[in-house]
Amino acid sequence: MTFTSFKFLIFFPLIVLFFNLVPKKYRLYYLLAASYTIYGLLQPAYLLLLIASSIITYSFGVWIDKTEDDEKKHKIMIGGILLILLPLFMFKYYNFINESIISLLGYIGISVSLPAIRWLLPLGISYYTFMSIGYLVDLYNEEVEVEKNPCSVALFLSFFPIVFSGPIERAGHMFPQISRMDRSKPSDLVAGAKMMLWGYFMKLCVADRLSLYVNAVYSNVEINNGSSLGLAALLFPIQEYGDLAGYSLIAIGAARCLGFHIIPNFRRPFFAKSISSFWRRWHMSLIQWLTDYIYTPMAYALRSKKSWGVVGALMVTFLVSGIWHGATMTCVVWGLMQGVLLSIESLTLNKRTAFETKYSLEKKWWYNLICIVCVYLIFAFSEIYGMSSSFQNSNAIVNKILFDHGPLFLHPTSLILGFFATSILFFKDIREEYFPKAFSNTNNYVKITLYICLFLYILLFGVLDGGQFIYLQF
Amino acid sequence: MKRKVVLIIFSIVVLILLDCLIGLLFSYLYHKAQYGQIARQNHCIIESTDDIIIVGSSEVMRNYDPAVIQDSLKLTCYTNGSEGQCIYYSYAIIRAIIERNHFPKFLICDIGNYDVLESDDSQNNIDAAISRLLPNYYDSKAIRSVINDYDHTQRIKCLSSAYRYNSKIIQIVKCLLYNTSDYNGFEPNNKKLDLQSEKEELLTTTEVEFRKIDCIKQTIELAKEHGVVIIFVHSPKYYVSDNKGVNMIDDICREEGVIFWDFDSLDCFNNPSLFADRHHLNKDGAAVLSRELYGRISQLNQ
Repeated sequence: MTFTSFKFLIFFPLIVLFFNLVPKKYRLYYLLAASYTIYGLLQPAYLLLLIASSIITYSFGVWIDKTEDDEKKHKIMIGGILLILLPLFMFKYYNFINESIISLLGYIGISVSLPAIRWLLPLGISYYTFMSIGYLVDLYNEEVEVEKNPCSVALFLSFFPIVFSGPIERAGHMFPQISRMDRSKPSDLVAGAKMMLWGYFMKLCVADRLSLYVNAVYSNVEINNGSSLGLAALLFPIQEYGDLAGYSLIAIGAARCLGFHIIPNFRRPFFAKSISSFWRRWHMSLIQWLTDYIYTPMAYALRSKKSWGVVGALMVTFLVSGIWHGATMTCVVWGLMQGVLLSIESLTLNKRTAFETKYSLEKKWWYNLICIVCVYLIFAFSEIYGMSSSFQNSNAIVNKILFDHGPLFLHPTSLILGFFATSILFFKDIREEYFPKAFSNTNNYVKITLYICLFLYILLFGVLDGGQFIYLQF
Repeated sequence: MKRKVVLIIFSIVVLILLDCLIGLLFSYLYHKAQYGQIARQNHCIIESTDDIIIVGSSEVMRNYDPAVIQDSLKLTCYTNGSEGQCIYYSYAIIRAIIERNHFPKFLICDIGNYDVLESDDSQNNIDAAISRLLPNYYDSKAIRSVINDYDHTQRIKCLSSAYRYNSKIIQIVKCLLYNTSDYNGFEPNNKKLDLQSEKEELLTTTEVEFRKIDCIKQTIELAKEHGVVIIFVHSPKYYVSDNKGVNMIDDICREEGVIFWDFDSLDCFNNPSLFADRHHLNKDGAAVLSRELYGRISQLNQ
């Protein structure tokens, strides 16, 4: 029962309705039951894994809290993290590491065979694993209070709007809301519904529409020329933005209807003027998590190395980000690529700032536009590696884009409707980025009519029998 | 409170009103389309009175020339080929024709492996058929019944007029403005396959979809019930296949006592100059196949 399924649209209002009818003291159990039911309907066997992760997180949390000795506390935290990481390692990375060891040994002439695991990846495992780790580290650092109710911990990790695709929430932000759980306010219902509607537009009208073109081209690299592959490469970041930001927005909106305020995940990333700014706007919950739990401690530990310490921390952080995105060498390279780009930016920051100040470039619109376009192109290029199954495939795409041009493969429905929906999306993003006060009509009747038009637009032009959500695979 | 109730009522009224307006506009444009796939589908579902009707996927649109068949047999012939469709679509069209009390002399259903095997993409499956048939949901009780039988949720979804025309705008505009110069549904292709082309081996990789087999049986039952002669045909292809699905249809036809003609096995179609691509014949190929079809039908007609 994904957010774009018809079943979800039927059951979600009922979930919200009963949430508000159930007495306050039972709401926690009601939401936990709803979350487990939805997860169980998709992957019944892996529900046990989610429950086991919750029990481990809760138990280690209580243990850390009860332990006085700092060194012992540290060991318990490490033990808990390793235990929580174990399923992620087994399901997501075991085969990757296996194959890497076999190929490495193969290079030096040693032939070994290690058994492979052919299990389906549990849904949301990367998300709830990171949330569990965050909770234990925050407890160790005494940034949050221990949660004494195991059901609250279980709901924190399995809360149905965010368990499959994030945003990656924090214990300190979620537990107070879980313990409060008042009835949904009308303003929350309206705000949540608006977010969900816009999320559906981004997902169904932008992402799924563009994906029809991008997938058609990318899945036939050998028969498509560089022009078509180039267009697909340029469209892919928009598709990915619509997909992840749209789905996140549906999740945030659904949670809002239940009175939860979830952290935002995207903030108009394609208006970033630098790679570092881009990563402060793209998949913010993941990047913030990586910053807090990997980058900051590493940069602190390497502070004696000065700027090279920052470079080291950046490289490791984005290497983890790459591995989080997928257990393939292309994802590792994608992560390292981001790390290198951010390191270059970090090392040249002072000189760039001095240059920009000298010529007052930051105030010049054409300079900002060039920066925005460059960031977009760099990200689009890196995604050729990030989302590809193999280097051969990525290299073939790059090679064709550079040297093999010809007539474009045209798919009028997806290109025309995709272009139109993207224009609407960018119009809204431009307005919010540069003219936040423009077109802000306060008349409720006008607003309602516009939202109804958006709803009908989705019905008319959305891809309603559409594909899967890209980030469900994480 | 009163203000909130007014806002809710306003929302519902505007939603229904706009949805109806969109539905009216799209319905008008859809039914006004004179060319291409939409025109063919509307013709078959709403008004066709032809003696011979050929249904199926894109092969039907390219491979059968109704002019050749009509001139020789003195029977009217119409072809309704719809790209990326399989037996679900053919069944719905045949049912719509029969249930509005038109009983053609011959119903010809062009089939391929995809009419039995599972689809590994967005084509040749029930979703593709439903999406193609939705605009005609209220034109035919048979179409409505087929759609609802396969997906119960469509009853609710189709309450919205806008939903029924989802993603159809470009196709509607194309079928309104772009004259495909087809004759009774036949859109010839003038391309020629490279004469040096060898027949490649294309093995079927997907499993049998038992719902498709049921659908084939339902199609046969429907035709028999109304005394319509139904003939299953397999168009020529320029590749070698294990024909897993086609052989199964052949077996079903044998069991049910229905005619099955496998034109793919004819030697005359080993000639690449008769093909536009590996799946479709060109104009010359269509003429050869239509003559072959006419010959066999005229024998039956006697």
